[in-house]
Amino acid sequence: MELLSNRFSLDDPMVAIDFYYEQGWTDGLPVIPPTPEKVNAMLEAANLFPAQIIGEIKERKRLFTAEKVAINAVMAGCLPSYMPVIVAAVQAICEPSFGVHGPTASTGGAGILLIVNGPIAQQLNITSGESFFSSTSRANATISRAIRLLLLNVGGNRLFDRTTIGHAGKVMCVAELEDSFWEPLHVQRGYEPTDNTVTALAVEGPNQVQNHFAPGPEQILLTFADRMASLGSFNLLRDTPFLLVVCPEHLRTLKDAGWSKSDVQEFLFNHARRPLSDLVKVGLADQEKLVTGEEMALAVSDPSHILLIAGGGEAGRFSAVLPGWGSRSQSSPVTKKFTSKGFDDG
Amino acid sequence: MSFIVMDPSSSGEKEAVFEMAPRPGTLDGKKIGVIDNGKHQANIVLKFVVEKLQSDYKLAEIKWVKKPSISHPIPTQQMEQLKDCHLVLSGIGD
Repeated sequence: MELLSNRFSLDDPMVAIDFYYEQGWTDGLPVIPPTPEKVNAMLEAANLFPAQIIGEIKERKRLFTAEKVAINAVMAGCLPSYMPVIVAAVQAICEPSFGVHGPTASTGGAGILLIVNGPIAQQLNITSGESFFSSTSRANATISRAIRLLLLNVGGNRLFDRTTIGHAGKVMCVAELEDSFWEPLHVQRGYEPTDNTVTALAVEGPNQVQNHFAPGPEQILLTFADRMASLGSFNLLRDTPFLLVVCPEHLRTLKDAGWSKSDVQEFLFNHARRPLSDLVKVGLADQEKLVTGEEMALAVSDPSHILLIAGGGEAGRFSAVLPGWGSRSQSSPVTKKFTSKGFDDG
Repeated sequence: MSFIVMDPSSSGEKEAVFEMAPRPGTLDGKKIGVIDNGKHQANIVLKFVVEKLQSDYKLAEIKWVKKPSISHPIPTQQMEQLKDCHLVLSGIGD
């Protein structure tokens, strides 16, 4: 296919690697030089033509064409078979309800988490088990990297990102450890178990939470609830969505007690809170908000705002709590369905 | 040997064209719009600026709107409300 982007003629691939650094087109790591052949292979894998519009960030006047997505995907080190996931992820973050401008510009330094569900996860070897957030799987590392490079090189992040501290997971890609007991995330969100989907959400870094001794589900969940309502978290009083990754050992305790995802959501909603007076003491809330003195600050405003997935290695009772960014009116999780070959608007 | 590689960047296929609006000269008799971006205490900063303008000029009208979301563009409906203003005051940041 005829590609439309500017092209450069260089001496060899090693020169090209330095060239991309000099142009400011990397994320700090060396990139795979995107030759026309490699870019076309990406486009063909997802049945796309170069000028096809995948998404846009209207408020920045940035347009993501299939060609630009493909170029950055090659640079990231992606295989062509990853392209349908990447395209769906771009579509997801470009949905108005995701509000990509906010979390990617904010001093709050949110990352973007991509959760893959469906048979594609195993087919592409996207990690859902051990080293959940630190996988060496090519799919995890490069799908997330493709989105990052795209946002830097096309999405305007170099210009707009004002992250103060942030975290290393600027874009993360994982797969849910789909368990027959717990309804998978995409099924909860209205898709069929055999559908391939990617769910994008803006998140802070994973907060690891351990409880190796709890005899029952309540004690484990109280540990999570405490982290969800910690002082200095960005989510108290904000109506922020949450994601929890429950490790297999913790999940076994919940399963043995027959706790469904909704049971867990309900419990966490009721317990992830702290006295508003704590926030007033440190200036995080105005004194005027205290009327009776018994007011509570809630971590989330509704149980359904807590997304739950299983994930992680078989050994170790370490789960993770990931607060979202801002409030749900500013950025909400978005799920996009895709097929393993082709552009799907589902 | 010629090794061809592609440009991954774009500053925007839809290039934004910004031209400076004509200056209103004096603000006497002018309508001003104020966009509160919804950030905590943005209204306090904007109110301070508006009060200063009111003391320096005889403003005809001040129209306030508050964006429903801090991270989304101003809704069209609110833009329409401010259409007849001679200038609009806004701000970014926390």
